[in-house]
Formats: sequence, structure tokens, C-alpha cells
Amino acid sequence: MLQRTTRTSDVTRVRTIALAALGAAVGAGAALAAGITPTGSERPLARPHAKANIACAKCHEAPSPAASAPAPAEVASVGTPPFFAARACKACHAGAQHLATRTAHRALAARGELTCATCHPAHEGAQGVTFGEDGSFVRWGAGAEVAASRHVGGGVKAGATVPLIALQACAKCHDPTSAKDPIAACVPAEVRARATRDGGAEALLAQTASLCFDEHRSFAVAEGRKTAWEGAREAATTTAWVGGARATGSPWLPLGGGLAGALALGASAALLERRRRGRSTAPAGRPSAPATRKRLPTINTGTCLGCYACVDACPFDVLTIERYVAVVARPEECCGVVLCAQVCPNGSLTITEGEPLLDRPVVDAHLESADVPGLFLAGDLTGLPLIKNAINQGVQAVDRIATTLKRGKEPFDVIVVGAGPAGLSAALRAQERGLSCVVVEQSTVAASVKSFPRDKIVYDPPLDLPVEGELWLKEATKEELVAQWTRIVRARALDVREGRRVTNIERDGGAFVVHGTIGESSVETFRGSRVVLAIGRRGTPRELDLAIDPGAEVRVSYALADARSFAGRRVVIAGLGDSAMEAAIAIARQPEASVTISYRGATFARGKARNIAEVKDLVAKGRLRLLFETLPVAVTKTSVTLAGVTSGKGRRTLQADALLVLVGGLPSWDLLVKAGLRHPGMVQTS
Amino acid sequence: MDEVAALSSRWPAVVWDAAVLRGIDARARAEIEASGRLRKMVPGEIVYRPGQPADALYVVVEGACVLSAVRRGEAEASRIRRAVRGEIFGEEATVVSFGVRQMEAQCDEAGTIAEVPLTVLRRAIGRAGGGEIATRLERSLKRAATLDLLRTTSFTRTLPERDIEILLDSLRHVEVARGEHVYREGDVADAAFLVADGLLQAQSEDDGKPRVEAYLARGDLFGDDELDDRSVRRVAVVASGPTWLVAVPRDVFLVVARRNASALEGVRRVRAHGLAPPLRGGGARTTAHVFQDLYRMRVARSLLVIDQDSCVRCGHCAWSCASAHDDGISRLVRRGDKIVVQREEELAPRAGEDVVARVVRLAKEVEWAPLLVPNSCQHCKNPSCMIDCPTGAIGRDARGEVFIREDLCTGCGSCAKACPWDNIQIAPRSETKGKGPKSPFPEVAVKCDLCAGSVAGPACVASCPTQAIARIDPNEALVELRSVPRATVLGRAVLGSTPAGLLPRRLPAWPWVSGAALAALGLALTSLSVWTSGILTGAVVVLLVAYAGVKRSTRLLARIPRSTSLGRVLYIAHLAVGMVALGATLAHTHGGAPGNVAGALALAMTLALGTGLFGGVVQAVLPPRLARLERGSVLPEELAARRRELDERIFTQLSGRSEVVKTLYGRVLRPYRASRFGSMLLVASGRRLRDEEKRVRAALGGLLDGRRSERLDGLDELVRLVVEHRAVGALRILTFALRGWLPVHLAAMGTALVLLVAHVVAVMVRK
Repeated sequence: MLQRTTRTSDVTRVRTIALAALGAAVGAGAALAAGITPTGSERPLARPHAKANIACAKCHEAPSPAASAPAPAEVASVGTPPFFAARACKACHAGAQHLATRTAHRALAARGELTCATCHPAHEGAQGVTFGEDGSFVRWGAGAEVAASRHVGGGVKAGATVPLIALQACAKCHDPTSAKDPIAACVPAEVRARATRDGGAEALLAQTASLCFDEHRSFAVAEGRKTAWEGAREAATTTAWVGGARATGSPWLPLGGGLAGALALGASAALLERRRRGRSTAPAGRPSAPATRKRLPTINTGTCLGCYACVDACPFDVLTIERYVAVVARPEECCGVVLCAQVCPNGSLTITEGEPLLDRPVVDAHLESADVPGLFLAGDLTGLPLIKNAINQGVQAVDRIATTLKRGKEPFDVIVVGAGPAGLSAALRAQERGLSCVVVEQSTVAASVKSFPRDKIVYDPPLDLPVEGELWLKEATKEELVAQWTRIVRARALDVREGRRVTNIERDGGAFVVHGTIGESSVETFRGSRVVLAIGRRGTPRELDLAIDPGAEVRVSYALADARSFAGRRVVIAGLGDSAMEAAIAIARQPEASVTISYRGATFARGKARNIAEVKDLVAKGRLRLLFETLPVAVTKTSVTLAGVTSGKGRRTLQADALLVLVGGLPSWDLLVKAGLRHPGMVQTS
Repeated sequence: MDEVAALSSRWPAVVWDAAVLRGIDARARAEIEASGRLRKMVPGEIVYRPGQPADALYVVVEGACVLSAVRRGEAEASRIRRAVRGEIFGEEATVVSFGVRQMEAQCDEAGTIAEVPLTVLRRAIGRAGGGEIATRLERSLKRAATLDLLRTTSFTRTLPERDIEILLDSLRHVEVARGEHVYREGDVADAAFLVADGLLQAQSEDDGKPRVEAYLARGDLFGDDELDDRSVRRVAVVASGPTWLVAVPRDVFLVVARRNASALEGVRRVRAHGLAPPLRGGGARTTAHVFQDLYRMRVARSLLVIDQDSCVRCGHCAWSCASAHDDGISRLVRRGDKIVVQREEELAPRAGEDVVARVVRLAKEVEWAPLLVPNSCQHCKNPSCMIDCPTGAIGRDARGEVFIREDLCTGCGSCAKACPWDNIQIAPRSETKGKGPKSPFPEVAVKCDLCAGSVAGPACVASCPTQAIARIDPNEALVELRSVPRATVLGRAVLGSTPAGLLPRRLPAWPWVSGAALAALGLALTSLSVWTSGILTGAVVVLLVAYAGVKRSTRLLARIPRSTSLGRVLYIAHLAVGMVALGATLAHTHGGAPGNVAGALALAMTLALGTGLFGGVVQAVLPPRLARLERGSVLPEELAARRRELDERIFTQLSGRSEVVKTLYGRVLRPYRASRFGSMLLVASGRRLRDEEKRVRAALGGLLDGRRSERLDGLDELVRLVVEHRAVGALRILTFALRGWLPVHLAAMGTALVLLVAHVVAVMVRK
């Protein structure tokens, strides 16, 4: 298989991650645009400050280096950014007029422990009253105000503003809940009572104005303010605390938006990538429908490069290179799969349809027999080789049955004949699709695969077929394959009736009756709506007309199970096909084994180039004897007699312990004809 | 006719009178003169050295040249012959396709030599229709080259000229391809073989698996000891790579050997290191070789290796490979064989250390550096891809680097199949290239081109943040390869540390990072004004983000010539700046996150820096742990499939085993394999695969109570499989830790960038 470039995650994940970062940016932007999180750090200002349009820097700006450093007393260093309290407030409020009158407060202020901001918060917690005409007033908090529905008497001057101090501010030093505290008079009695009774004093105090309105001034100085104080006290007691505007949002929101955006874009990119990877490794097309005409490669010798691409692609060594161009060397081996045409770099090789195939039953695209509706064929029998194809065809046939059949009319919906790869995959698929199914097998599960030589790597052809089900193990040895299949049969409890050789298939109305003989005589019949014939082409090995001595029957076999068992023995192999050659090579490698091949032809006629080369090599080294134009005719316990094919040659007898007949097999045309199939070759000739 | 030729000829007649060039017609002469050249030589000047591509032969016009080579079995080069006026040298080029020089040619006496390019010579002769001339030429060249070979082998160099002539007349040239047998065990012995070029393995079968008994390289004689007693071959000999052999028929060999028994003694001495140890039963000297593929190491000129102990699996190498090429296809796939090497100095005995102590130290304390050899072109000395290319699209430049001419490539895949290590891939031809007429072939072969055209060297090496990836010449870097492979193979390869810098010493990150961490601490502790800390943090963030852009601009970086890995420098800078960023962020926020954009920014930065810190730590800590659990190297996306594959193999291994094995599997191994937290435990324990296998086997041993029998066949393999199964789970966890934080890191950074812009805008507006 040609090594193709792949896009590994190393390469693709860069784009995925970049997309995730982009998604994060977009998500964060969207979360910001939603406007829930404030962009700046502006906190709402009290009404008078807001009206005066005071910028942050006015209060929070550090003094320039040129100016003398502020005394510690002037810096309220709590919080960031630092607030330069005294200097900032004094810039507008002519400071000297507004000092605390209480001695204790003055002492604290001198030490810098009491600043304007201790009692007058500029942002949250700010509260005040601004009077209008006729005793109407507006009560305000930071960034919020409420116009009162009532009026206060006393002729307060319009435009007068009185800040209200929350008891919480006093609570920094005083205990407003105690009746003995100096500020007890400023605390409304019911507030004190509630605070002591219910608890939760902190929240209550934060929303209750202190009643001591003297602005730290002597009455003499503040004569004009007195009415305002009275009005404010009334306003404070009669109207509710004004909550500040919502000052903050959640800092988690934009981050969450960003991560969500990243997840959305990144994950979808990753999913797309995974799907693309799946697609690129998944195969295209499924050439599981068998051809009805012989297909052969045709090579344009004028353009052929002689690059060996087609030669290497062909699993059956149909092509070879001669004098720098590709030629079809073994047309009879061609399976008609277009792999060679696909790999040809410049289109010099094309597949052309040749003469019709005469030794295969005719089926339609769904693998249903053209002669007997309801009878399906799968596997080698259709003329398309390879285990992978067989597995696919079994699935394909049952899928067709499942979509067209009305179930449950007969004891079985599907009767599968043959428990090879095609039959097993058909049965598995039937189980998956809920069809009742029985598998009838003449010997045991995967008998013909079992007869492959030991440790044979089941050829993994360079075909990208979708392999359905669990039957396929990549590059498995045949032992692994058979073990896996046996395990599946057990695990899935497939109904496999072994040891029943199907002798006849009859039609009975819309149903089929399958007769299986057990041993010599007893017959079991199965009745089902549909039949899948998956009996392969080697199920019945071709036999030779042999005179076998009594007791020598066990010396003749039609398959090689394990070459090692022939160590030290003398073996005659009849046939020179691939399986015969592979068997011969395997046995010749065994210590002390001697192998003789008997072949009726005069030269190598077919087979993989590798096998032929190996056999020739072994012959040259004297480890293998090759007798052309001979045929085994008789077998005794200790010898095999060969006869010449042409009349000129005489018989000879070889000392031998075993005879392996590997001369291929034929589809059971007997059974097929009984089932109603017509032999296309016969149709042509008759 | 001769007169005309002489007139038109620029080259002196002495060239054309040289043995093999005699009889070449005028046109061929003109062609050779056009493509060849006359070189003036001064004494001491080197014409070629061993290892250089051999593609020309030389005729001495004036002066003389001396050929010298290291004879098999010797350490120093010795003089083979002296070529004087009218003589030819450099014929070995003609015998092996695209081979390399085996000798050194040095000018001895000032003069001139004519360089004849071999391809031109062959074509000229072939065109002239001189099938006969061509055959004669090849024959005489081969004979001359073989004579030079015979002079360098230990067996023949002391033979009298007469015997060498006899050998020359009788011998047969044999070429074998990689994996082909010269002979198998049990074949009839009919010849002795001399290795002219290439590498072979003498192997015997040990329980179905081939076991290497000896490596045979140029100059070695093998297959002779079975000739004496007419026995069959006792071992099989397989070519590790394309190999050229000279076969001496049995009879001739025996005659020559009998006449020169002393010379054969010399051979026997060499062979004592070779096939002499008992072949059956195995000894300490026949361990499996650490390089499963010694041949690969021998022919590689420039081998890409990744130090798995420091590789952080980030994939920069593959990505930068893809982006360095116009078609966007990465030639590098981080997947391949693993070899373990050890630096020379650690193997050397320490002061006051006796042998026993040293062995104990080596066995226990010394960590072997695991190197991954990914599938990347190694620019072989004798590239088999080049031989198989039908259109001549593969070439080799003066330095011996193999390249593919894309306009000649038809994408037929011959080279991809010829490369024994799958280092060439077939890719769809990129259509974006506007140069020249569009190629009619839809596919093209691609492979590592060492980033030709980049002054910064290969992009993968330049971009690696940990300097884990390097191109080395294994024959210089690996001590074991520097000396001729011995029959007694070391259990481990040794990575030479001299000359220094064959595997780059990593630029250490810790001084910079810890320095930056101190600076960050200082920053966080000093009180800075809002503006100072804010601007500093912003600038640092811009630097951090710029890292991503700079390291990804492969094309730009390729223009900067440099000696150190820029990827590493950038990575360290990023780590250090990240540390500073941590301090600056703290100085700016004081750990607070108010309920606005500034607070969100603080959170995003914390996440970005936190994941970055995590990433830095896991990248420093995890790779060695990961390397301990790896058998080969598997891409992260293939780990799941790998686990399924192991499951399949466990089932396969179980089928057909005895009841004892199945019971043991059911009682011990299956629970072990199915354990939910097993992988995590394995990660936590930090054990190596081998240690874990030992542990599991010990647990089994407890059950068995020391009994062993053949009914336990396959148990060891099962243990190996279940341990690897668990290790694959551990690999997934570790790989996820190594790679999973990055998307979060970048997502947080993306968020932070947007918020930073919003924050800066808000601050500027307020001001």
C-alpha cells in the first residue's frame, strides 16, 4: 500500500486552537457588548458631584512630583486607586469652614484618622436632600434620586442641599445601638430597638441617616442653614433611604463569555477535523457487486512509464513489466477490481470489459439470483474473490432481504448455507437487523479458511473496502481470523448447524426448503423465506481419479493444515497452483522432508510470481522435485504411482507417506442447478 | 578519422588511450569533454573521500594519485595503489548503482586528472550502438573495481598477484536486494562470498524468530567454512540492504586457500569475532540488537531523531514542516521506532570505581535516553528510491542530499515503495503553484528536503521549543556505528559526546525563568503607581502575545541565519516574560477583581498565566515519564485505536493457549487490564514499562510458586500486552496533560486581549 501523506493532529490542531482563541475573543466581546458589566471603574457619584461633573482624577490623581508630598493625614490610603481626601475635597469645599466641631473628632482629624470621606462617601453610601420651591425636595443617593411626594414646612431656601450621614459611618467609632453612646440622641429610637432586637444591625445602620444635623458648626455661623437642617431632618425621617444605582457587574461574565466562545468555535473545528480524518481514512466506493463480464487491464504501451505501480497494486500478479512496459501476464487471475487503473500515474492503463464470464451464476446488483427470486448469493461463489469482499457481500445480501421481506411468515426469515466469511457476516447482519436466521454448514465454521497453511497471513489486499461487522482483522494470520470468528459465533449465539451438507434446495410457494444430510442418511430440513448461498468455490475440492489401496485413504488429503506435521516425511503434491506451490514451499522447509510435485502441464501456467520464483529456487537447490506432465493414479500406504500425461511416458512409483491433492475446486453446480440456477455457459452453448 | 578526433579534442590523447576509453567515437568524446572536466591537482589535494557520492571515474593525465582505504580488520588507512599517467581510478562508481566512495584518492604528484561523469559515459557508449563495447567496458571496469576490492579485504590482500588473478577470473558478481537471502540454512555450500558493498545479517532461527549472529560489511568474507567439509549452510545470510557480493566458487576458493593457509589464518582471526561462537544454544554474545534495523543507521547520512525525554509533544516540528512547504503538507509525522542511547561519558568508568560497581551503576542508575526516529528522509548514502525512479526525478546534490524534482515526478509511487522506511509519501499535487505548465499528473512524491533554501536549517529543528529534535549523522554520533559492526553486539547504543554538539545540548531555561520569577516577586512587593504597573503589565502582555505570532511565522524565521534554535530562545523568553507578567499583574491588581471590565481582565489574565504556568511545569516534568511508558511513538489521535488493537492482540494471543494460561489471565491479567484507575496508578508510580512488566510477572510468579512449564507458553507475551494496554491509558492521560492546557491558555489570552483593549479605552476616555 502506498504511503500517503496525512494531516496529523500536530498540524491541524494549530488551526483548531487558533479558532478557539478567536472564539474566545468574540465571546468576550459579545459579553461586553451585552452591557451588563460596566466598562470602566466609574462608580456612581452623589447628585451634587455628578451635577458638577467631577472627573475621577479630581480626587484620585496622585500629586505631581513637583508638588510637595502630601502629609500622611491627607491621604486616605485605603483602596485603589488611592484617594487624596483632604486635598481633593478642599479644592472645592473651602476647607476651613467645615471642620468638625467636636473635640474628639478634631483630634482624630489632626492625626489623619478622620477625613471628609470618613463621613461623606462620594460614591455608594452617599445620601442627601436637595430642596426645591415651597418645601418640595429631592432625596438622592449615589447615582439615583427620588422626588418626594410631600413637602416640608419651615420655608427652606430653594436649592439648599443637606448631605445625610449614614449611621454606619459613625459606627466606625461609636456604637449606635447602645443607649449610652454619645451619639445615642442621633439614632432614631425605633432603629436602635430594631437593631438590638432583630440583629442585622449593619444593613440597617447603612440605610439610616444620623439625626444630628449641625454640620459641625456653631449655630451662630450657620444661622441660614438652620431651616435647611430642620427640613432635612424631617425629610430623612419621612422618606426612605435611596439605594445607589447598581454599581458593579460580575467580573466572571466576560471571562465566561470568552470561554464559551472558545468552546463553541474550537469544539466545532475539532469535530469537523475529526470527521474529515474519518472520511479520509474511510474508503470510497464498494466494488462488491460482481462483474458479469471478464474485465482486463489494457495498457497503452506508448505512454506506459514502466513504473511498476500497477504491478505492485495487483494482488494476483496479473501484470508484469517486460521491456519497460507493463503487460498482462496472467489474464486468468484478474479479479476485475480496478486497483491497477487507479494507481496508474498517467492513465496508460485502463480496464476494459472482455468476454462474458461463463462459470458464474448470474446475479443482479443486490446479489439476488436472476433465475430464482429470493435466492441470494454471496462470497467467492459470485466470482469476486477476497475474504473482505465476501464479508461485504454477506452484509449486502442481508440488507437487501431486510428491506424487502415481510418477516415471520416462515420458521426462518433467512437460511444461510455455508459458514465461511460471507455466510457468517450474513448471519451476523441478519441478527443485527432482527431477522430469524440459521446457518447450515457442511463441516465446521470457516472450514476452508482453516485449511489454509498454518500461520498464513491472510492477504490484506490494498483495497479500501468498507468492512462491516467485526469479522475482519487486519493482517491476521488465519488462526487469529478463525479464532475471532469462532468467538463471535459463540458470543453472539449464532445458530450454526455444523455437519449438515446441503443436498437440495426446493421452492415451496414463496418459501424455500433446504435439505441438509447428516452423515450418510439422516436428513434435516429447514424452511425459510429467503436463502443466502455462501458456499464458496473451494467447498468441494476437485478430486483425482485415484486407485487407493484399502487403509491408504488417510494418506490422501485435499488441504494442507499444518506443514510442520510433515517434517521428516515424503510427500507428493498434485497440482501447481498457488496453494499447491505454497504448500510445497512450506513442507520443503521442514527438516528432513522430501517433496515431489506432480503436475499435468508441461510448464508453470499460473500462480504468483513470488511462488514460482521460490519453487524454482528450491528445485535448483535440490530440495524439491518437480515432475511435469504426470498425474497421480494410485496410492498405497507407502507409495504413490504417477502416470505420464502424454502417451510416451510411462508410469513410475514413488516412495511416499502422503499425497496432497491441491488441484483447485469447483462451485457445486449440482446444488446450484437443483436450486434452479442456470449455468450461463450452458445457456450460451445450448 | 583519428586526426579529426584529435583536432576537435580539447583533452589530451592520453585520456582516450586509457584502457576503458579506447575505441570511443568522436561524438562520445565531445559529449564527455562537454560534461566532464580537467582538474589541476597539487600534491596532497583530495580528489574524493570515503562516503562521497560516486558518480564519476578519473583518468590521470599528468602526475599521480594515491588510493588508500581502511582495510578490513585494521584501524588505519593504508595505501592500495598508485595511479599514474594513463591509468584510471574511481571505478567503484560503475559497479554499484549510486554507491558511495569506499576509498580516499589523494594527489601524490602535481598534475592533471580528467573527470568522466559516469552517466554520460554509459549513455555515449550505449548510443554508439556498441553493445559489445558497452559490455567490454562494464566488464573491464568491474574487474578493475573488484581488484581494488580484493586488495582491501583481509583475506586477499596478502595473496600473490597470481592468486588474485585466479580469483578475479573465476568470481561471479551477485547483487541481492534488501531482505533477500544469499543462502538459507541447509542450502548446499558451493561458494564463498566477499562483501563488496552493503550490509548483511547472518542469522539463525530461534523459536521461529530470526536471531542475528553477525553483521557482515564491506570486506568481510563469509560462507567459506562450510566449503571444507562439503556440508550444508549452518546459518542463513540475508541482505539488510541492497548489497553487492563477489562469489568465489568452491573449487577455486579451496585451491587458493590451500596455497595460502597463512592468509586464511588471518581471516579466521577476523571470523573468530564473527561466526565462531556456538550458533546454537545462544550465548551472551548473541543478544538481540538494540537497533532493529542496523542497516538503517549505517546508510543514513542525516537521521532525524527526537529526544523523547525532552520532547513536549507540542507538534511544532510537524506544523512548521507543513507551513515551510508551499503545499502545506507536513513531511514529518511524529511516529516511528524508538531507540535508546547513552552518552559516552556516563559509560566511562568513574574515578575509584571498580568493574562491579560500574556495572551496577549502569544497570540501575543511568537513564538511557530514548530517541524516536520518525519517518523522515535520512538522505541515504545509496538511496534506493533514486534507483527505482522511472523518470529520474530523484537526484542527489553535491553534498549528497537527496531531492525530488517535482516537475519530473509522475507520482507513480515507485520511490515510496522502494524506501524501506516509508520516508516518502504520495501527496496530491498542489495547484496553487503558478510556475510552469500545469503537470498532467495529479500526484507527486514528497519527502523531507531539509528545508532547502532556508538559511536557518530545517524548520522542525529550528522551531522546537525544547531542542529535542535534531538531525544527526548516526555514523558519527553513535559510537557503535562508528566502528564496524561486530558480531558481538552491544545491548545498547552509545551516543557519542565527541565531537560535542552532535545532539544539541539544551539551552537551559531555569536560570532565566527563576531570575524572572525573582523579578516578578520584587514587582509584586513594591508599591507602584496604577499607571506604572498598568503600562508595564500591558506591555508584557503584548510581548507574550507576540510570541505566538513570531514563532508561527515560519517563512520569516527561515530567512534569519542562526546557530542556536530560535524556537528554544523564544520559548525561554516566553516563560521568563510570563513570570514577569505574573508579578506585574499582581502589582497592578493587588489580587482584587472589581465588578467591571478591569476585574474581568484580572480574572482572564489569572487564568491565562495560571494555565501557562501549569503548561511550563508539565512540559518540564512529564516528558521523561511519558517516554518511560512508550514502546514506539504513537500520535495522540491514534491512542484509542492502539488500545483496541492491543485488545485484539490479547484475544489472539489467548486463543489456543493452555488452561493454565487462561486461568492466570482471568485471575490476574484481566482484572489488571480492566482496572479503572490502573492507568492513573501507573502514571503516579512513574514506573517504566519494563519495571511494570516485572511487577506483574512477580505477581504471577507468586501464584505459580516458581513452577514453570511449557504450558505457560505465551504468558510473557500476554503480560507485555496487558502492561502496554495499561500504559496506553497512561499515555492518554499524560498526553492530555501535556497538550490539553493549551486551548484554555489561548482562549483565556484571547479573552484577556479583548478585555485589555476595552480596559485601556475606558481608562483613556475617563482621563
